[in-house]
Amino acid sequence: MQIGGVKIADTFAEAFPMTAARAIVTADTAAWAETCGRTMAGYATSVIGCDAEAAIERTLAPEETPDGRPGVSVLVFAFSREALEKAMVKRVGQCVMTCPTTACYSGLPAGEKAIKVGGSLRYFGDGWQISKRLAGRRYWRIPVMDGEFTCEELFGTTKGVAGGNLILLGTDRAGVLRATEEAVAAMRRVPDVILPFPGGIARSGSKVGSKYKALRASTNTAYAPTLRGLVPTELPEGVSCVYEIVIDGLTLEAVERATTAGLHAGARADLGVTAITAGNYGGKLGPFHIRLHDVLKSSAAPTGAGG
Amino acid sequence: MSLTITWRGATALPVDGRTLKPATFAVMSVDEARRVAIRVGNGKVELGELFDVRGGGGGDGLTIEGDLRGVRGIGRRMAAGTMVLRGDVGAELGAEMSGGIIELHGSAGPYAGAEMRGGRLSIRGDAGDHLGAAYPGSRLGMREGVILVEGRAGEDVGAVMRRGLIAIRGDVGAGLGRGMIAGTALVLGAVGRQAGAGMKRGSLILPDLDGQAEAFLVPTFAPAGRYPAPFLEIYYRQLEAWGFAIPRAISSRMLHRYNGDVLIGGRGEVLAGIRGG
Repeated sequence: MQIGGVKIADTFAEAFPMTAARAIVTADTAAWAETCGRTMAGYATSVIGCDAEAAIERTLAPEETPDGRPGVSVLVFAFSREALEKAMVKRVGQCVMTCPTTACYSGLPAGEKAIKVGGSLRYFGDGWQISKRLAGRRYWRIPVMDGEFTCEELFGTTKGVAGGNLILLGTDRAGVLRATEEAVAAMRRVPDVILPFPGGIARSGSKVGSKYKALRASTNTAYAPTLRGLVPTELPEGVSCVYEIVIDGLTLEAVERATTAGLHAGARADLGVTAITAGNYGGKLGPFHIRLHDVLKSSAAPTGAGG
Repeated sequence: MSLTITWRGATALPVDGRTLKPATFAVMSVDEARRVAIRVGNGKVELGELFDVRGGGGGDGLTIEGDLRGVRGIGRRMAAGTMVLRGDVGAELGAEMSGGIIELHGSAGPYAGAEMRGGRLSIRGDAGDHLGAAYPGSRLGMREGVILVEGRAGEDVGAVMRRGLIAIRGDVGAGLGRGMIAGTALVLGAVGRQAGAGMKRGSLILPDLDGQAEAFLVPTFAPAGRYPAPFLEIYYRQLEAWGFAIPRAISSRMLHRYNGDVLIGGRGEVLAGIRGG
């Protein structure tokens, strides 16, 4: 299958379940909300080396937020609810509470599987924190130096899907990067997903394991152009650059929609992209298999796809 | 079955309305409802002697109509369902209720919502003294739930309340939140003297004042400067969802804050509005 002269590999991205939360961060201005969201999602690209995977999902208009101020929604993923709670408490405590004018609310309903965030951070108030309960939700108001930090006690969680991915291969680094940026821009318009790597793009794709026992992951030698001739390669002749986009979503459908959007926007033969593929572990790692050909066939988007 | 009960004005004796709540009539026919015992003076009569009872209209709600000022305790300890009242009612409307919704299209006597534990009490007219307050000798007033008053309210609103929300569009008398332990009372009108006196924690939110809070606060409240309170927007939006409209001119962006009552720890707060703030 091809899109605009770019080969779409007949393969699948292998994704796995992760627990997710959505934080609604508000501030007096959109700029401070954005700053806060970016800070909260810092150092959260991959659970290979971080406590969580996180990124800004989208910006929110004042009428979309609980306190009527501009905001951003941040999705945070971790391997378990306990790990997610730890990461959220640290990230909200160190990156949201510290940020001028902000407040933080749960963007998912807090059912039985909720994690305690404001309920842990309240102790920073040293006894001067104020609890407010309204319509079944509890908020903590913690005195800080510019007034108060408001944080919801419980944040709802859901079982999300992490590790969806696209891998773009091409002949020219600048061109492939631009095509990948355009794919990222299209994928970020899909709700309920994040692309946690810098600018949504990873250049250091990894494989499981290493010759060094202490490492859980190491460079994906099969996709490293400079190792051609030394190790088995997956790179066709002429490919000199590979970029990966990792997708975490609240649902499998959201990850599939983002995959479709990325395939259409990233298939830029004019920028030197020759093929788009996806990473998997032969089906041994995760239960979710996102087949590139299947998502393209089931999408209604105009493709220009050829056989 | 939905039931409508209409007061016939058949007695001048005080009537104990505690049986008048949706649960009483949940599985009854109209005839059975007419035979429900109700206390009048020091005796009991059948409901049908005082009220016209008719059914129909679908749903499982209860509607009570007429001049009910002589009926006290309507909806007392109500736990579920919806009850609509058309006409003024006596004391203790919804007192100690723990769930459900009472909608009063009229005014209520004293002790409405007293020691309430949950649910929502909506009063379209005025409320008397001791709204959401504790009974004499009791240590706790309202403990949970929501009271909305479109008109005015009397003295000692929310006295010794422990939790919950009271919102009043009109003026309130003296002693608002007196001895308050926690919870939130929001008043859009004028406030009588000694508001918050002896309050331990809790919030008195007076967003339509213009820096006049010193006039009615006791001296044991400490001014704490101007204060942005974005969390109030959460309250405003929820109140709007409950049908209690907040005027557009009212803002959560900046309020005067007073901490008190410092005689007993000072963890309560009075947030008073700044026009154009």
